Amino acid sequence: MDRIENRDELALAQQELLRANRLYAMLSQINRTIVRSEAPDDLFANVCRIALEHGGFSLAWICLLEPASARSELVACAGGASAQEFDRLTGWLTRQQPMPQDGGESVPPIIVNDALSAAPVTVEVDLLAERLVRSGGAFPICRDGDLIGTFHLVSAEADFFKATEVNLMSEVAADISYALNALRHEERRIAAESKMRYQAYYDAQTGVPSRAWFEERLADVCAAADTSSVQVLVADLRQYHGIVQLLSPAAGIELIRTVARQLEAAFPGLAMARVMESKFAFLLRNASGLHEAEELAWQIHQVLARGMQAGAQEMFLAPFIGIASYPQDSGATGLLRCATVAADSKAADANALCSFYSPDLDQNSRRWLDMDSALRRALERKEFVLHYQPQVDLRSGRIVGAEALLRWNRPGHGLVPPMEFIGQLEESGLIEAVGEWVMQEACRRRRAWQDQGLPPVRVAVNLSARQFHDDRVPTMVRRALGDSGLDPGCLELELTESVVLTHADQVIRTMRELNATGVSHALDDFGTGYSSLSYLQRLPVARIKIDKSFVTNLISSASDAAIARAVIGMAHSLGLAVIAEGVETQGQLGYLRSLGCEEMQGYLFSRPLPETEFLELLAAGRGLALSEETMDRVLLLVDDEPNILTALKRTLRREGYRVLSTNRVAEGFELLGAHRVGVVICDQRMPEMTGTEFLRRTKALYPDTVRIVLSGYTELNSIIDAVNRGAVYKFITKPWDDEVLLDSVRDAFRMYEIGREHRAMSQRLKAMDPADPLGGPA
Amino acid sequence: MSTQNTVLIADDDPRNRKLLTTLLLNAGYRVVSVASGAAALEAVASQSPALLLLDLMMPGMDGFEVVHRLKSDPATAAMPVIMVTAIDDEGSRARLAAAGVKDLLIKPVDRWALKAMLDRVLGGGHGQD
Repeated sequence: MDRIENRDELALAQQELLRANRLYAMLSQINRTIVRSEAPDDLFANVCRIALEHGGFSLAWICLLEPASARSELVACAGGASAQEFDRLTGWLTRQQPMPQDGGESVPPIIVNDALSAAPVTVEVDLLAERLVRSGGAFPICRDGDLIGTFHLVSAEADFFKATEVNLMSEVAADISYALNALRHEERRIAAESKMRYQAYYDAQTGVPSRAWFEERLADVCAAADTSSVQVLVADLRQYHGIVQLLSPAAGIELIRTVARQLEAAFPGLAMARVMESKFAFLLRNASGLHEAEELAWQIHQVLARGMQAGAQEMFLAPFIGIASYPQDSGATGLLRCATVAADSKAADANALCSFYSPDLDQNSRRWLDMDSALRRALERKEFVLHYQPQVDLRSGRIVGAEALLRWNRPGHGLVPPMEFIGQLEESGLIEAVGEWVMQEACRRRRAWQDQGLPPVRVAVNLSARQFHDDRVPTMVRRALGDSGLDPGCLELELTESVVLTHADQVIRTMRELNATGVSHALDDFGTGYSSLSYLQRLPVARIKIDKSFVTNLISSASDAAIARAVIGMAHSLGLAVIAEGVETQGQLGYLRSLGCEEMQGYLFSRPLPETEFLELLAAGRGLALSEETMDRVLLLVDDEPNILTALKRTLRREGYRVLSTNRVAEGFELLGAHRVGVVICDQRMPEMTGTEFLRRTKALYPDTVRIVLSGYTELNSIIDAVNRGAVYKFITKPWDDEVLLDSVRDAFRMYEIGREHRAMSQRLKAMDPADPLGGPA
Repeated sequence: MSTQNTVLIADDDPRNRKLLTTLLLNAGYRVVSVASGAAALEAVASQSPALLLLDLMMPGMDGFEVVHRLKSDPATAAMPVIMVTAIDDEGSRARLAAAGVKDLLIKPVDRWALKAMLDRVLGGGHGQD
């Protein structure tokens, strides 16, 4: 450093030091407010306030650009000026050097260091003088890479913005941008969570509440202190399934929607839900007598018996209504079942339109009693067996666990699947004894595998709500572990969300207690109930299981894919592993792997197996074959004309691409799931859907892919639209020139690979500092 | 008498209430926020807001039921309601339209979409500068 020559220079140096310190203090305060702000507007207001209090600026304000008009709007400010004056100052700064709208993060700031000589000074000379504006700066704020606003600062000192100051304030603006991205990400996550809950509680076809909603409402109403009686009415549309078979699926949906609308219009304010495909349930509270329920049944019948329009035809649904009463027929939990039994019953009188529940109406009741004694005998005669479904690690392909599943080897009936008897086990109270047997048997068998020298795997055992009715679960688990001598670390307990929610405090206590001994837990059926992050945080679970229902449509439904993505992201952010259930195709497998899902079970690898078969698999060390395509350039071709496919394949293979091709859209989605496809080329005119629509869906599911459409000149309008919406990277007209095509494909792969490297880098950066999601100097 | 620039927010999630509240306060509106359908009905009666921003899914009384009750009371039938929801499926849209709700804001709420809708529904100019 140069020697300081005289007093003036010393003073100047001190002043600059002081100024730099002020700006560092401001930066640090702003980073603190960023971490605390829950909403963008709070953040903006705090940033402006801090710029004045700590940075010593005379005015600070933030404008956001309205995308439609590109007008900038003042959203936060600090300092003595009026809103109108701030707008004028924004205009003045912008005129110095207009900010390009589409430059994104690379937009440079606007700096004015001598306000009084900067053009066009004449316009605002009075305002600049009155507000003591000598230097000013406008710094870009971005979100998701787009310029969305500007952060403005004004100082009463001339020449305020030197390189250091500009860098520091650009850093502040970059931190604000980062915080906005983080807040937006959080908002999207909250929205995905809420969507997931919605899908569990409302019927997607009609928008009316679902069975889950109705059962909760019913439990609340029955538990309410002022409830003396409750009637549940279930209206069954007996012709519905037949009609839907005749109609197109779309007309079927239209029909059921019409039915729902008419019911809602006729009975406003009455609690109603679609409890099964062809059944609506209604809840009547504190009726003056059964005649009131009968009257309502008659009215419901009136509405439903009218002809309903479906497409061009008028359809008759042949409704029949079942009625069950609380507390006479059943408690809250069985009431809907009783009303359903009544709705399904054959009335003695052919003209009847409704039927009250009665125990002898319940045609299942005799069978129920027979089954009950058969189940009791089954336990004594050791007719229950366990089957094991392998759970596979998606990185190594190896078997890492097995879910123990109960089967009943019923004499004269063969192997009875669990759904035919589990419900009854629960109702009859046998579940506790059978549950204990399952726990004992699973631990005993797992210990035996260990003694045989087989590779170590986790064994997973399901627990049902009923088993938590008393505090015996911990004792039962400890006894099974003690009797078998199994290491608790080998045992995993699977609980469904509903189990956890119904007995929350007790279940969480039990889980913690068992966790301390080394037993782990998995949350089963995740996503089908009231899945929320806040309760997930309280649970000592190691793993969550994504329900089969989401896995099934993973590769063709953007909303199911979004849910899977959200669930996996949510789990990972809490440090939990994810296992997907019911994986049946390579496409599903590929997609789950690309999302970072850790494990899977499903028919793709193996169905649940009898013990001997499972052990053969384990001993042979058989695993899931996982394809690695990291180095390949994989290209997908979709065209319904085989000749074109052949010609394209020939051209493209010359260049060494790995070419996948299909003439069917559905198979296209399957291939996208199963392989790491970089570039997609598809024909515009296909019988199942247009090329642009296919690519639009591809973009939603696999945003990283680069997409090209092949088309004739006549279809250009729809394609340009798709290009503008980002679904299509390029279009190539038919007939194509091979060289042009190859050039485009080469460019497309380059884009894909740059994007991939970029993502890999940001992931590595994220992994380096997981504790500080907002980064930046604090 | 409706209170010209009061907006009522009903959402059971405090994070969503916070977000909408700051956006509306900043736009110059007076904001009242509640966490349930029942509280929304009480606030409509006591505060006479110019507009209700209503979450569709809340425990107990849901958004559909709130709308139904508002529409069946002549005193509140004309009050504009905007549904704020994460879903956008055909079934729910159809059900909302049948209940008399035409305006839907999809979560996560976009600042400009909210502003455009407020301007349209309230005719603009209710927020103070």
